[in-house]
Amino acid sequence: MMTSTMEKIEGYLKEMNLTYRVIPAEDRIILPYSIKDRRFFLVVDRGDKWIRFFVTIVEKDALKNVDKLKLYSALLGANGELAEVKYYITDEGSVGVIGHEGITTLSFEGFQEEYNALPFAVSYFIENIASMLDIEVAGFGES
Amino acid sequence: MSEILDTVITYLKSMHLSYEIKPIKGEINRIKVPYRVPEQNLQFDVVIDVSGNFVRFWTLLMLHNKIRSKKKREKLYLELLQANGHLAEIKYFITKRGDVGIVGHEGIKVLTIDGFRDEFRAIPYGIVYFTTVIAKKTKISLTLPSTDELSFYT
Repeated sequence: MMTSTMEKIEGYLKEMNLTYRVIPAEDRIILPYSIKDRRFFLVVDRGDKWIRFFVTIVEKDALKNVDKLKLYSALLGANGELAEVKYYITDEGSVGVIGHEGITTLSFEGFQEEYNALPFAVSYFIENIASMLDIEVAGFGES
Repeated sequence: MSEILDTVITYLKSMHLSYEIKPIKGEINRIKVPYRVPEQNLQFDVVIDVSGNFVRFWTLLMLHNKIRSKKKREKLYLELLQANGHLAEIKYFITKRGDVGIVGHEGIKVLTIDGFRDEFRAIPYGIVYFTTVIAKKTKISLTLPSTDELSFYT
């Protein structure tokens, strides 16, 4: 059953005129993003206290030959310089960007900030980090 | 003083926190909030910068010269990046020269007392998480250097 928080998020998405898919059993909404002719997916998950927004940018397999210390330094350095952008490494070793909004403090403006920050972070990764470290960012299917 | 700085001070007073305003160069208004976590015997400053469109909360965990081994540094950085995925509102980062810290941002347009409190508390929570989880995994302890002589951008 759809929760009121998810209905609120759906309301924001409709207001922003965005295409999305709801997975009610997982309290999850998925939105396709097209960034630099590549397709990515923004996932919005509802937790107990937080709404989690995340995008997987590049999977572990694409990082096999990458100098890990240089990659981690670049991600942590960007985390300091860019407000609202938080790069992370998944437990499986993929690179992603993530944001959280409190359920009780969720507002349309806060949601828009997260929605806009994540594609910016993907573009920043492609232009500044992947290019420097020779990482191929293929995206996830046709845009 | 800007209107947003006044708002921040009002929030700090409502949280019963003492603070010190530290004017610094440029457009930034800086407030230092001394904070203690008695259970962990930790004492540090939460630094709050009011600048541009954001209120920034940050502190440093250790200086760049604390870890000399490349392997240890790589392990620490991986733990920090994985923690960034697991922990809401906590963002570990490094400065240009490699000092390790925690930072959080709140947009001034969406600033509320609840959001402010969440961001502020994320800093001590991130320090305690480092001490209780990351330090044990990496065998690297934090030093909580003074932020007095340091710029966020150093």
